[in-house]
Amino acid sequence: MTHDAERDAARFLGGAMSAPDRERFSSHLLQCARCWSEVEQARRGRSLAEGTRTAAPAALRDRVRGLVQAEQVTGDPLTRVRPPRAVRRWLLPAGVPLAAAAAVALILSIGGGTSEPPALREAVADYTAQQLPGAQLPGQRAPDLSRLRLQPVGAGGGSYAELDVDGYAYRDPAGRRVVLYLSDKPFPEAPGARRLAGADGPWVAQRGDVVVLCARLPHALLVVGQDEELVRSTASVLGVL
Amino acid sequence: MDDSEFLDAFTEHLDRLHNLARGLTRSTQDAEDLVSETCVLALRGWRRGRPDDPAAWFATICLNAARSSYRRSAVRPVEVAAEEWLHRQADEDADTAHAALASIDATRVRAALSQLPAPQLEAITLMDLGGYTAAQTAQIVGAPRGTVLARVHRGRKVLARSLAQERGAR
Repeated sequence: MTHDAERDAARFLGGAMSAPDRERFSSHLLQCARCWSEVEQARRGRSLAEGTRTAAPAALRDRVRGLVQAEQVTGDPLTRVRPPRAVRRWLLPAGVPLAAAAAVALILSIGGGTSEPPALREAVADYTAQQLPGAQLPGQRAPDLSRLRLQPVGAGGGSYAELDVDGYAYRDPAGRRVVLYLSDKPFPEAPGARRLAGADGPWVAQRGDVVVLCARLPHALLVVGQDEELVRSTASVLGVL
Repeated sequence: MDDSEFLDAFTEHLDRLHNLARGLTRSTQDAEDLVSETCVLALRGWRRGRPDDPAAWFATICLNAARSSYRRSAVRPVEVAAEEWLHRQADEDADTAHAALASIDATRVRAALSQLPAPQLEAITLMDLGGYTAAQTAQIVGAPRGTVLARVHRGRKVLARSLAQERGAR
């Protein structure tokens, strides 16, 4: 019998044969070593390939949710989402000079010394690198800062040191950036911070060209930006100043 | 804008998309980046109109993203060797390795998959890792169904033989 064993086996395994053809080929298989071998090998290959299937990692599910959330806020995620800490890579977008990040790190290491709380150091470093704390879905929609012409450009939850933090990044038409960090717990105070009101009131600190404003009441939040007036205005709109 | 319907659909197919991306890239990190890229592209498309077959549509976006990125060139150094090797081995009896195949781990299978010609890799990845039907795969890769069946068949044979040979050499 003259036939194309490879083609017939492929059609047989792929369900592309009519019922009578399939029945005929099944009988033929028992008598034709070539066709039997074709089917056997392909079945083994299929089984091997199927054996590599795995469930998607939980971190990828979180990342997908964070991406959808960021797109929901922005329509265009200008701010990159930081990968989970275990595989963390610094993603500096084009136009952000490496020297700027290095300068902030240097200032922190000199000005803050070892007493700079890690959560603040990470927040400032992420602001400079235009990264969010993580890819988790934030606990709430981005607060409305449209009065300041600030539009959300990204959102994502993660952790800084021991603090669970949601980050919301904004830009105004002039390109000025502000990032708002919200947490269930108070942020630690920066060394050298200037108190703006009361003993437990908000404070502001300068780190290189980055301004950090922190409040504990009524919300634990950080406002980080490069324009102090805009940072203060943001805090004011949010009702903490 | 409420994207919860999209998120539900995408996460429903996340396992198969992850397997698809894993087959089309060299590392878990590249696979997760590819799925993320697929997610963003798909979301933007979804807002313009929901597809009839979301599963196949997500896979099409994933495959196109993989093809257009560095991942494809990075993972596809071999276009001919596997076919030539198959023909050299055509008369060899592979039955002797049948029982041993069960112990072959996923890492070695992935390594063997990565040596397949691109059309075969895509067909196997879609059908055997992603669980897409031959008809869906044909639609996704833009080839006739018969061609897809031939590609996946040849790829499976190469896979079985290469791992049987590896086992025999150990």
